[in-house]
Amino acid sequence: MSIRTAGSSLALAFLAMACGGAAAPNERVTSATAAVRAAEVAGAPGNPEASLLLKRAREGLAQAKAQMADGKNEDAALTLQKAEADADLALYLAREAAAKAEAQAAVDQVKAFKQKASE
Amino acid sequence: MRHTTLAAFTLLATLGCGTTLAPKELLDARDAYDRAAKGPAAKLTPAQLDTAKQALDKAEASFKEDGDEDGTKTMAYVAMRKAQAAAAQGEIAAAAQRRDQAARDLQAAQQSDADKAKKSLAKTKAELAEEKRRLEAERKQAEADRKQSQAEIAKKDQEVHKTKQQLEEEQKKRLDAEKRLSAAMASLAEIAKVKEEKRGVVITISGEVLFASGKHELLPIAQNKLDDVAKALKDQGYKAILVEGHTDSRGSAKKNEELSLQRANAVRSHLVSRGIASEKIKATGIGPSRPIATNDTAEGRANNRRVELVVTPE
Repeated sequence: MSIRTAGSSLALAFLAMACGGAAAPNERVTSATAAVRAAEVAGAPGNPEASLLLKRAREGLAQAKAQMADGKNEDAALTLQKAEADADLALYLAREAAAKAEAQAAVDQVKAFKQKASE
Repeated sequence: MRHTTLAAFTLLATLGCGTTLAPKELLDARDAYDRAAKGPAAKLTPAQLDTAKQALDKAEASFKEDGDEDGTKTMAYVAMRKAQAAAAQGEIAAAAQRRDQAARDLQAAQQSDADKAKKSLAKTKAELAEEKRRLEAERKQAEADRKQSQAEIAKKDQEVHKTKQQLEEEQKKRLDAEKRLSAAMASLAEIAKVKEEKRGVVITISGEVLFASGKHELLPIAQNKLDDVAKALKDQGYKAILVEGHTDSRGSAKKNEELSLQRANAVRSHLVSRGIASEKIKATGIGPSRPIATNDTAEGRANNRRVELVVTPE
C-alpha cells in the first residue's frame, strides 16, 4: 500500500465518522444471524425457554437492521450483541435439554436392562 | 429540615463524585455468574466460565469507567447471557458424563449378563456332556446286559436241551429198566414168587427147591435157578438185597435159626459168585418166627420153609 493510498483510506474513515458516527456493524449482523441459525438447527424452537430466547434474538436482529437503516449503527451494534448472546444461550439451552434427555434415556436403558436381566 | 437538606446535599455530592448504582443488567450478570460458578461448569467447563468471567469483568470495568451507559448495560447483558450459557454448557457436560457413565454401566451389565450367559451355557454344555456320558454308559450297560441275557438264554437253552436229553435218556433208561424188570419179573415168576411190599420187592423161593431137608448146601438145580435170579437182579438194578432164611416150626428154634442163616448165607454166596455186589447184599436167619402159612399141615410147613430176597430197587 502506497503512502497516498493509506492516506486516502484514513481520510475516508474520518469522513465516515464525521458523517454519522460508527460504521455499519455488518460483521455483527452476520455473526448474530449465524448464531440464530445455529440455535434453530440445535432445536431451540422445540424448547420453550430456548424458543423465547430465539424469538428475542430474531427481534433484536430485526431491530438492529432497522437501526442500521436509520443510521444508528452504534445502537445497532449493541442490539446485535444482545441478539447474538440471546441466540447463543438459546443454542446451549436446546443442547442442554437434548443432552439431559439423552443421559436420562441412557440411564433408563441401564435400569431396564438390569431389570430384565434380573427377571 | 436542616438535616434533610444536608442529606440531600450529601447524596447529590456523592452522585456527583461518580459513585453510580450498578444497573440491573450488571446485577443480573453478577448473579448469573455466581450461579454458574456454583454449578458443574466450574469443574467441567472452566474455559466457558472463564469467558463469562471475562465478559463480566469487561462490563464491570465499563461500569467503573463510564457508569451505566448503554454500552455498559449491553456488556452486562452479554456477560449475563455468557454466564447462563456457561452454566448450560456445564449442565451439558454433566449430562454427557451421566450418559457416558450410563453407557459404561450398560456395557458392564451387558458384559456381566454375557458372562452369566456364558457360564450358564458352559454349565448346560457340561450337564449335557455328563448326560451324554451317562446315557452312553447306560447304553453300554444295556448292551452288555442284553448280551449277557442272550448268553444266559443260550446257556439256559443249552441246559434245557441237555436236561431234555437227559430226561429222554432217563426215560429211555427207565423204560429199559422197566422192560428189564418186566422181563426179570417174568423170569423170576417162573422160579419164585415175586411181590412188592413196603420193604421192597420180595422174591420168595421155596426151600424145597433150594435145599435137601435139614441141609444148607444148594441143590444143583437150585444153583441154576439162582443163576437166573442173579441175572434178573443185575438186569433190573438194585440198591440193596437182604437174603432172609425162613424155616417151619418143627425142631428146635435155635437149630432152625442156625439153619436159616446158613441157608441165607449159601444163597448170598452163590449170588455174589454170580456178580451181585457183595457190599450190597446181606444175609440173615429168621428161623420159624415169621411163618406165612400154618405149620400144622405139610403143605403149610412147605410154604414156610423158604428163602426171601428183599430187593430195594434203584
